[in-house]
Order: sequence, then structure tokens, then C-alpha cells
Amino acid sequence: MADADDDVLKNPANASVQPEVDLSDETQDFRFLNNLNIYADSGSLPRRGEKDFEPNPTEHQTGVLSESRKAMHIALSFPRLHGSKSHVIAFYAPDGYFPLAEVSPPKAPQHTEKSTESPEKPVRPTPRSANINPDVCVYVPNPKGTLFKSVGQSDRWNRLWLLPEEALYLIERGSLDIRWPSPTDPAVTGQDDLSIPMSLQAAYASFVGHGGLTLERYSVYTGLKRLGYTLARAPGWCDEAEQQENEHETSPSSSVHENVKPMLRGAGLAGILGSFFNWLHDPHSTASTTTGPMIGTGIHRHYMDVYRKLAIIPWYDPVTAPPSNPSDITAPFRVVFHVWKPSTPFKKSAPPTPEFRVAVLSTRDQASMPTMTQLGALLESTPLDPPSGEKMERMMYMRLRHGYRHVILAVVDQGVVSYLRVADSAFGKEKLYENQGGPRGPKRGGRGQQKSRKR
Amino acid sequence: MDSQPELPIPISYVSGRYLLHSIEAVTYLRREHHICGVLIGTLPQIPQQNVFLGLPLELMPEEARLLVDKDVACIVDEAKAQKGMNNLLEEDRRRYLRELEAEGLHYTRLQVDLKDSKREQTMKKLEEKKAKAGAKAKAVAAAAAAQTQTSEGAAPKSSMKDAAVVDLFAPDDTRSSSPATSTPSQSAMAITPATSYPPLPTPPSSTHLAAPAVPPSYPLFAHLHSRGYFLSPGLRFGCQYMAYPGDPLRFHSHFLVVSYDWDQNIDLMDLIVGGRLGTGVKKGFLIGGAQRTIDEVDSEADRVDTVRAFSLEWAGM
Amino acid sequence: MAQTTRPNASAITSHMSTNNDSAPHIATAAQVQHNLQHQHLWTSLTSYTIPANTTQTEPLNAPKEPIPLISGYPPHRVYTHPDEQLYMLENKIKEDDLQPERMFVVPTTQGQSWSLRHMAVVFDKLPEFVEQAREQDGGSLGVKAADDPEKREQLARYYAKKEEVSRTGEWGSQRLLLAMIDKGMGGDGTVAYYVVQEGEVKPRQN
Repeated sequence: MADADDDVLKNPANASVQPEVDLSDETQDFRFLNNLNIYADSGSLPRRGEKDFEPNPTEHQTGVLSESRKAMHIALSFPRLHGSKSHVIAFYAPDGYFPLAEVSPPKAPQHTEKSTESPEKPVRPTPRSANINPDVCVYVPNPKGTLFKSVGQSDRWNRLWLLPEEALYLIERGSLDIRWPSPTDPAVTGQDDLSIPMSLQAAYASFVGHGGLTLERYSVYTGLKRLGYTLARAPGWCDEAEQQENEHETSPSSSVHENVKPMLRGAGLAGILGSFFNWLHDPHSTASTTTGPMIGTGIHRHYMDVYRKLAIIPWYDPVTAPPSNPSDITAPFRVVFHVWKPSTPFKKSAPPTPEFRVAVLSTRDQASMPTMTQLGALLESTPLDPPSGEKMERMMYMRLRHGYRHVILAVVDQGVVSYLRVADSAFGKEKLYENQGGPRGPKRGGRGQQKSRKR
Repeated sequence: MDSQPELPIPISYVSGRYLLHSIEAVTYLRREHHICGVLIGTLPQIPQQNVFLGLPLELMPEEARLLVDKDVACIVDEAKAQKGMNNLLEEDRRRYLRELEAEGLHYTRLQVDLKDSKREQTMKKLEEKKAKAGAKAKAVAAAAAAQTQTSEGAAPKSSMKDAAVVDLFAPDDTRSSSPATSTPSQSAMAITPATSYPPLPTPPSSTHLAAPAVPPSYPLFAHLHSRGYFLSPGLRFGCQYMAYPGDPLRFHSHFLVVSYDWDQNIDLMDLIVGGRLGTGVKKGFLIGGAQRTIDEVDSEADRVDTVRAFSLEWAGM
Repeated sequence: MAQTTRPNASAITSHMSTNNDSAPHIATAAQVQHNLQHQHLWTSLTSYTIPANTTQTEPLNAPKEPIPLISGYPPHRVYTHPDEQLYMLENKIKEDDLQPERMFVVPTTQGQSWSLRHMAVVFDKLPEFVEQAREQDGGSLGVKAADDPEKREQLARYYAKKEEVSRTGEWGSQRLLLAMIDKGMGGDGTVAYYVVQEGEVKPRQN
């Protein structure tokens, strides 16, 4: 058991592969937050705080702990204020979208109460409203600023409608002042505006659980938003709407085929078995193997011929595999978010092709690893994205890591999120014997369904 | 900060999860009951990062259950409770809005003060620079002296600024009682309150929900908690809980924790995986569980007394 | 063509087949004992068995299958509790100054049934075997003679402290090694050893 691995284990510091230090992995000492001048707009983060191994009865330690807790208390008490310049008011619309003027917004308290308590949604027949997501629940009458660049949907009256996760994210970061519906319309009655600002607590209670928004989905949404990513709901968000994405995005043109001709045409395991039997019975390609040596009896002038003859095991080719049945995609193994990097220009009206597709899992509802069927169906619900580019062409391991389809699993355990990237690698497509001088690229990488931490 | 909130503390039950929104409750539970939860909210003062997060605090069902069993907390169906907003009397609305306005004015004034002191500092700095420049023109030796003066001046300046910042964050007990007697030129800042209580009244005990359902690992969770450990979700290390010997703010965790039922088959490979991973990050791998099933005893609390736990570490041989 | 002859059985195979018992737990114990003796150079190896119990109604009854146990002296200390290590460091006691301690090992193999009940029963029975081994050793190893009177006094204090903490559990409670044999793909003879201690014992920091 004494081998090289043990040295790595004994001295993790000497290990060649240092684990990435992710500050958000641990509870941070809030004293370091208050060292920051939070009014400065530099986005620099505090240093990692030193922690102790175990409590000891020293006063120093007690003092530091109470300082840390005090700092945390102060940081968490920071109020959400809206200065006059940046003040954006929004209204909570518990019944969702409503057109202006034609029907007056649900303002009378009795009305609101009745309709929020009744389970069926009010009819929204207005043709204009067809484009507005039925899950919207907050509108901004006068949207201004850069905040709304990638969120919300505008209606005919220039009101911006927000989905629950968008509204919650904005109120939480202190950018939006959401009001409860006012009992009186000041414009009509000429009375004071008695609309009460919604508390963050009320926003969580009202928006989480609304329109398919789970706390886990929200944790993923807000976690990525904070880092600058752009997110949009994917068609897999709703339990009912699975088909659209498939029609829309899979079935890439078959021109992606390369000259590498995969031996298998069927799908999945049945396909592999089928072609295995074909191979057994095919009198042409493998006639020699049933009677003589597998590589035939002729003269071979090149190892390549030999290897090619030896390649008898059927393999799965993600390019030619037929699209799966969409009904295989079961919750929670479905893409719920499309994600774009912070640097990608984003237009609400014409979102570019998603850069990441994220499925959200809760450890409390899904305690085990997904099965191959679940994972396979999830991957097949994403469009084909073969490795491309100069670097990928050069580096085999990068191709394997990238895979032909990929999806990100966001695993949420009681507020703690981990991201795993799952890619569909095509090992069968990499003919090692055709590479002059063997494989190139960094000496780490591919496993069948490789999972690597997304940065 | 050392105050004790009114008990039982209401825990918001929202869409199957347990949340805390009151900073007083969060600080109190951490200090007195070693319940930390996980902060999941965005800090408005520094919203573009994930290292420091803010309220709300998400509690594991285990944590909520423990608090409810100790009569420290109760569970409130928050979506339902918030519906009370629609039934507020006009009088209550007006009073609450007046309170918010007073609080907003308080912050407006603080910000004006902060701006003033900032401006003062900038002026001072400019003057110092002027003085320095003049001194430079006069003599090189004098310039060196001016240098020290500036750096000395810099320290108190920044600490003064910090003090002002801290003052702004610190919950001010006087703010709600401070009358709105400000100059008319200052308009009150609008506020998004952290909680809805007030204006809503504390939910009556008749509306409290039943104690949270807990997973089979609860006895081990409660056992470790009763031994003084702070526990948090274990996802990052592929276990059920992380156990800390003290507040995770200040201490590294000691154990990766996995619970088993008494006669549940343990795959020995899992012990190796946990033990090896733990040793690699200087932590122990702790397994355990209750000897009694819930059918054999009266309550979950009785099972906690029958928990046995074992610590594993790689032997290094 | 040369006549094919069967190669001689490997050392471990012949060792295991000399133990004429075909029960799997005996074979496992024999393999671990062989590994301890020859790879890790343990001495005075002794084996024991915790008998099976057919009724399993009480949580602390033994499981349905017998559990083997091995004890012996490792050439070096396998485990030192962090607080004990600190004490030794502060009092300038080196490991070589101390008398060796008999260590107990539970041999297991991948795929066998194991549970908290197994673990608890082993720990509950452990004191009996420790006592048995103490009688067997008969104090023959004795306290290492220290020439230096100061050192002698230091060691005496150490042993007194050790006696004291064995009651409080300050330096950890009962401990043993869990030995696991890899049987995957036929096994390669690897045995993995893990220190198991009863209760919450803080991890070592090195």
C-alpha cells in the first residue's frame, strides 16, 4: 500500500494537482467583509481568513469569535435602501399579467384576496398577452437602468413583466422596490398612495413556489446571476413542455458526419447487440475471422491495417445515434436553465445559442446518482455540439473532455450548490493508431462520462 | 446583538423549505443553539459575488426540527401568513408607512453626513497636497517631513470613514422612535424591509405547522449537536453533514458524517472512500446511527440517546 | 514440447490452505494475518473469533455470522492521538521510549456484510480480548529500562497520565484497525487499513 499515491495523501501540498481554492466553499469570516470599503466600486474580495483547529479556553479565541459574529450581524443587517436616483418601483401582480386600461388591475383588496386563494388562474384572453409568460408576477411600470437588459418582458404599455426568480433576485440585491397592490388607486381617488413595500420575507413567500420556481432553482439562478452570468428559463422548466426543445434544437444536419464510418447504426444497447450479431453473420467484412486469424492471412504492410481489422467491438457514436424519445426525460433530469457567460452579448429579443444548459437537482429529493438512462436521456435532450476549433482539432484530450453533447448538473444540498459538467465523449471516434507519435495534449482527461468541475 | 428574540421564533415554511429572515433570530440561534443554517441571499452592499452571502438563512429540516422540539422555534406557513397583507386596516397601513418614512429619513441623514465627512476629507487632502507641494518648493528636507505627516494623516482618515460606514450598518435602536423632524429638503429613502413583522402581527400558535419531517439520519444529527458540534450540509465532501468543533466562522470541520441504520449493510468500499477522502483533507470520517428504530421508542428524541458513532482515519500503512 | 507443470502455490495460498477451515471469515483472517506478518512485520500475532448469534432481536446482540479478530505488535506505533502527541512533544518523549502496544485488527473483505451492529459488537467485546492478550503477554515486554533517572520519571508520569486519560477518553477511546481486502477482479493482495475509534475522536492534523 506504500505507493506514490500515499505520498500525495500524506503531503497534499506536494501533490502536483492542487485543488482549486474556492472561497465560497467554506463559511467565511465576516470580519474580512467589513474590512472592505463597500462604497468603493472595486470588486476585490477579502483574503481567506485563518481558522483554528478546535476551541480552546483562551480569551483571545472567544474575543475573535465574538468579533466575527458581530461583523456578521452587522453585514447581514445592511438595509436595502433606494436613493431617489436609482429608485425603481414595481408592483406585485399575484394573478399574473393583465392588460392596462381595458381591465383595471386587481387593486381592490377583496378582489386580490379572492383570486389569490382560488387555485384556477384567471383567463387571459388578450392576444397581446400571448407572448407574456403566464408565470410573471411583478411588473415595473417605468423600467429604467441597465438592470433590465437581460430580464423581463415588455408589454404594449411599456410595462416590464418579471418572472418570480427575476423579481426575487432584483429585490434581494436591493435594486427593486416592489409594492403590494394598493387598496386605493391614487390616480383615481386622488388619495395618498398606500401601497406598502414588500419585504424580502414576503417576496420569498410569494415568489418561491410560484410558477415552478423551487428554492433550489432559485439558488442556482441567483448564484450564477451574482457572478454575472445571463440566465433564461429553458423549455424543460415546466413539467408539461418537453417536446418543444427537441423539435427545436436536436436533429442537427447529418453533414456533421465525418469520413470515419461508425460500425453501428442502431441506437443504444440494442443497437450495439444488433451490430454485434451482424458482425457475426456478415460474410463479407469478417469472413476470415470465422475460419482463420482475425486479421486475415494476407500480408500486412502497415500496422494501421492490422489495428483496423482488430477494431471489432461496436461503439456508440453520439453523432449518428438517433434522437431519443422525449418522454425519457424525467424530472429532475431536464434542462431548466439556459446560461450565457458574462462576456457574451445578450439580446432579450433574440437570445444567442445557450452556452450552458443546466439541470437542477436537490439532494433531499434525489439522493442517488442518476442512472445511465436518466443521464443519457438528459444529454440527448441537448443539441449536438461537436468539438470544434483549432485547439480541439489538435488536442485529443480536449475533444474527449468537451464531448459531443454536454450538460451541467447543479446539485443543491440545503442551499449549498455544486456544479458538475457531464459530457458525452466519443472514444470510438479517436483512432489512437492513426495518430502519428501517439496522443497529444495534457496528460489528464477523459473518462467515459467525464465529470469535471465547472470553473 | 446579544438580545434574545421573543420565543418561539417563527421559521418560515416556504415551498417545502425552512427559512429565517430576521437577523436577530439568526444571530441568537447561532450563539445560543449552535444552529448555523446556510445563508442563501444576496448581500445588497456587495451583490456581485458568492463568497459572502446574506439573509435569508436556509435551515435543514433537521435544524428546524431540533429547534421545534426544544420549543425554541415554531413553523409558520409563510405564504399563507403573508396574505394577511391584504387585510391590513387603512390605519395600520398609514402607521407602518409613517414608520418606514422615519427610518428612511434617518438613512438619508446618515448618508448626507457621510457625504459631508467625505467632502471634508477630500478638502483636507487637497490642502495637505498643496502644503506638501509648497514645502517641496521650499526645501527637500521639509518635504520628507510632510511625507510622514501625510501618511499619519491617512490612517485616522480611513478609520474615521470606516466608523461612519459601520455606523450606517449598525442597527440603530433609536431610528424607529426618531421623529420625522428633518429639513424639508431631504426626502426619505425608500426601504425594502427584511421582514413583514411588523406590519403583520405575530402568527398565533393555532396557525403553527407540525414539526418538520426528518430523514433517517436525524438521530445522529441530534446526537452530534447535543455533543456541542455545529453541523452543516455535507454536499461539498460527498457526505451527509460536516461536523465542526465550534462555530464554522472560526473553526475548520473535524468530521465528514454519514448515518446508517443499525442493521443497514455498509459497503466497506464506502468506508474506504470516506476514510481516505477525510484523511486527505485532515478530517475524520464519522459513521453512526441509532440502535432503536422509531417503532421501538416513543419519539425521535428517545432514539438520540441510543446513537453510537465511530470515527475512521486512514491508518497510513 | 516441454511438459506443462503446475506452478507451486503462492506463499499466501499455501498459508491459507494450511488453515483447514473453509469458513470465509477464517480465510479472510488468514490473509490479513499473513499481510500483517510479512508486509508490515507485526509480531506476536494471535487470532480470535467473536461467535455468531442467531437471535438478533436486541440491538447489541452479535450478528448472524462470526467475526474474526487478530492482535499483534506493530513495529511502530500505528496511531497517536493528537493530544497525546502534543503531550509527548511537550515532555520530550519519543515513540522509541515507549513500550509497544498490542493492536487489534478486524479483518474484512470487500462484499461481505458489515453494519453498525458489527462495529458495535466488536468494540463491546474488545475489552475481553485485550484482557486475554494481557494475560498471555504476561508483562514479558515490560517497561523499557531507561538509564536516565529524569527520563524514567518522565515516562512514569506519561504512563500515569495515560492511565488517567483511558478513563476520561481524553486521548481517544478504544481503537482498532479495520483491515479490508480487495477482492475486486480477483483481488491483488492489497489490504487497506483504517483506524476506527469509538465515538467522536478528532482527526490527526499531520
